Amino acid sequence: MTCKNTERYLETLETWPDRLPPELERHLQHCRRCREAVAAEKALRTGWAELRHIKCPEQVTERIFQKTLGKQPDAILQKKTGWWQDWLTALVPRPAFAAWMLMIAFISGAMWLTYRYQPTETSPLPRAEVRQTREDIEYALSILFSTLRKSESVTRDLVFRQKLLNTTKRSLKIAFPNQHNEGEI
Amino acid sequence: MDERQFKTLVHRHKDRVYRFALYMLGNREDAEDVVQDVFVRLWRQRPPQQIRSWEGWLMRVTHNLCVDRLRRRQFEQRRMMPLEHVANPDSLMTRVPVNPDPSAEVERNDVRRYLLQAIRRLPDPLRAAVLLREIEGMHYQEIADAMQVPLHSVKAYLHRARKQLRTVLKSYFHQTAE
Repeated sequence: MTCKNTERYLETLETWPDRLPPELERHLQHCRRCREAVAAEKALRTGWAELRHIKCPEQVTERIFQKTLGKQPDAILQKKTGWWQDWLTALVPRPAFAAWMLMIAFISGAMWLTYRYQPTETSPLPRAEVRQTREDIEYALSILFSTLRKSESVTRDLVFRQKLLNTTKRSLKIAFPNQHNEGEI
Repeated sequence: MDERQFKTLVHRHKDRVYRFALYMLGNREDAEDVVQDVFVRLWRQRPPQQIRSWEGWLMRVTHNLCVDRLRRRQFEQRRMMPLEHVANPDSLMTRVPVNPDPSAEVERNDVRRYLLQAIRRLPDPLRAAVLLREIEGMHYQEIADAMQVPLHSVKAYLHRARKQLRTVLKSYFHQTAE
């Protein structure tokens, strides 16, 4: 047997045999390099076997169960969310509604600012201009709501339509406490 | 997945997940954290029931978590605890029957230390492949799935890893013979 054959024999060996082939034994008697190779191969195989004995510590298992089953599974899966997250989750797949909401918020904000800062005698903004602005906003709102009422394609989702209307009503009540009632929307 | 099935999976696979993480990371605390992360992820994600092999799924997640940690560690340039420290006979090999011959026991410990050092020096993919094959006894295709690499890469990794390990152990026997 040659050194090359020994190498090939070791590489193709599935399990370590009880006895090595006699020709290999004879070769090992006078070949130090192959003796080292055989010893290394044997050590490698026994070494793997020893490394398989390691076990996971029990406290790790306890920690796993505490972290998973210790709490209610539903509580782990469903994190508590705030109202704004609910709204965000609902509005993201409905961009048309989101746009409407933003527009209403913007108009309501503008109206609130207009009425909050009424022009005084010394105000640089003439009273007539303020009145005009208010009329413009009211006109824009009336168009918005008539469109919203008619547009069934945009407002198919009744729950959101209702939410949208409620928000608008609230905004209008704040903006026009004496001039708008629910019948007008 | 219900609690009973989850518990069964934990008890059945925790040792192999821990072993793999320990030899990959060379650090007991990190390995424990990885085991915990793997099973918590299993519980939270609840993979579909028709999954082909739980072992494959778990080893893939373990491998990914280990690779993440190794990358982070590399990034942070932290010095890793030497693997031979983890593998000292009192802590790691307590379950291995003690050899009655003291000189053989010393040699066995030396060989084991050499082997662990050699495993530690292997590049990450080679180490993962050889650990999954030699310690966990996984098939080539299972290793390829776990490591998310082609089958021929696994074969190449294993060939190179074994060659490197043989070289290290040969050098040990060469030194002891002199």
